[in-house]
Amino acid sequence: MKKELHIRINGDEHHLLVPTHRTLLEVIRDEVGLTGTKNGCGAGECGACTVLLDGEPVNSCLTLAHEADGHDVLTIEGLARGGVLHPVQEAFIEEGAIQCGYCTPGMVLTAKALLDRNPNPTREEILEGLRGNLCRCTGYVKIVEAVQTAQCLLEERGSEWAGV
Amino acid sequence: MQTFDYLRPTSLEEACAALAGCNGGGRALAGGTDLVVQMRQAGLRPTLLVSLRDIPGLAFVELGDDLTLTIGAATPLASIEHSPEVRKHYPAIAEAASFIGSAQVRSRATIGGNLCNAAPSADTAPILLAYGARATVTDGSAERTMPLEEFFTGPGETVLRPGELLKSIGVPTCPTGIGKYFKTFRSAMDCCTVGVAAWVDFEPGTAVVKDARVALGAVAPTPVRSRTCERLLVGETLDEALVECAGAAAIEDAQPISDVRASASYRLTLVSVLCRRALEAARVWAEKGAVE
Repeated sequence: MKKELHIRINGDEHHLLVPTHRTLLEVIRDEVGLTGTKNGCGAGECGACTVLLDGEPVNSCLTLAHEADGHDVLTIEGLARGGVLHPVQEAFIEEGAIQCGYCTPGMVLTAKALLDRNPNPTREEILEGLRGNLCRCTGYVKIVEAVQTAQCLLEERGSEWAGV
Repeated sequence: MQTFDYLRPTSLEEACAALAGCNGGGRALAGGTDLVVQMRQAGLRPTLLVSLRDIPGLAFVELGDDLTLTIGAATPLASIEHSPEVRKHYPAIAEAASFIGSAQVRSRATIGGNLCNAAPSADTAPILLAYGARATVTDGSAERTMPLEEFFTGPGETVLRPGELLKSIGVPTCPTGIGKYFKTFRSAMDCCTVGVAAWVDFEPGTAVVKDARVALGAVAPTPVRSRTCERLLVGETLDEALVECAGAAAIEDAQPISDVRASASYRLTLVSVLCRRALEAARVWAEKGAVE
């Protein structure tokens, strides 16, 4: 059974005809062609498929595409602005918080949502906030440091990134 | 995943009628964080999903003037976790919500979903039982309200009949007293091994227990109250000796199974440890209150 789907991804409107059982992840990757969002466990455990739905982090592998009908989705491709990386992305590079990179889009978006809600998280709050994102290269120390660095960068120039 | 019909009604009447009319093949879809996993990995094949997304008045947190708390069944756990009202007046409920899954799961997963799945280990259940919460169920026209304890009828089973939905959870006024929830788990993202919640109200300015509710998760077919423990507490002074006794008594109302997460005997030990922790927190709270 196919149904019409109207969805805004990174600010672009998409009008698609999508089977009811397609997940948001499948639509983002296979219909829209944005492959920055990764398919990991398919069960909401690993966080590689994290996107922001109306600003909130969600597992796109567990979200039926039609549940996002009429809503705003932000994927990793939509985070930089005019070729300038978002402070969270910049911080991940600066701290070397990326190894194979598979978990990175999910980590970055989860970290962004965390900092949007709580601009000054403690180390424990960062660990708790990233509980749903697994890194199989064992890089958590640098990832936590990157979130702390992003916290400082956003403090300096957060206003430039307001509303992103 | 197999395909299915998908409806997104805008009223409870429509939703209940659709669920009642599909020979038991329909499922209500709230956050989908359990349902979609069951469909992808456990062979669950509903013929119809009825999305609750567009039904107004199902996702809300409302604190009454008398501090009663009402939570709509489709309220995401993240909204409960971050609600200033819940954090201020019912911090243990906010904390229990925050224990579940990850930030991504809590953005979508709802309190109603957590309760309707009726896992004995549901993290929101023990603290709601301890606060004396009531469940309101609707068939689209008539409603019935019952103690949450009676909502659960077995593992994965509730009183909901085909075409009925959980509408809201109500917590009666708890202007005094303290609620606490403790649980153990093997690691982040895992189900709880045992959860114990306690709510204790004291005679003003004293450590004498006026009323108490103790609830246990993951140690019986449903989340349960420990009335043995409660009877022991009411009317007595909550001192260290009573905390110890009450912790031991809570075991009487637990019938745990052994499974991949823990053996039955280990779970019994945990019931008594976690019950002591919850009551000790209440004891310290009363001591401070009595001193001030």
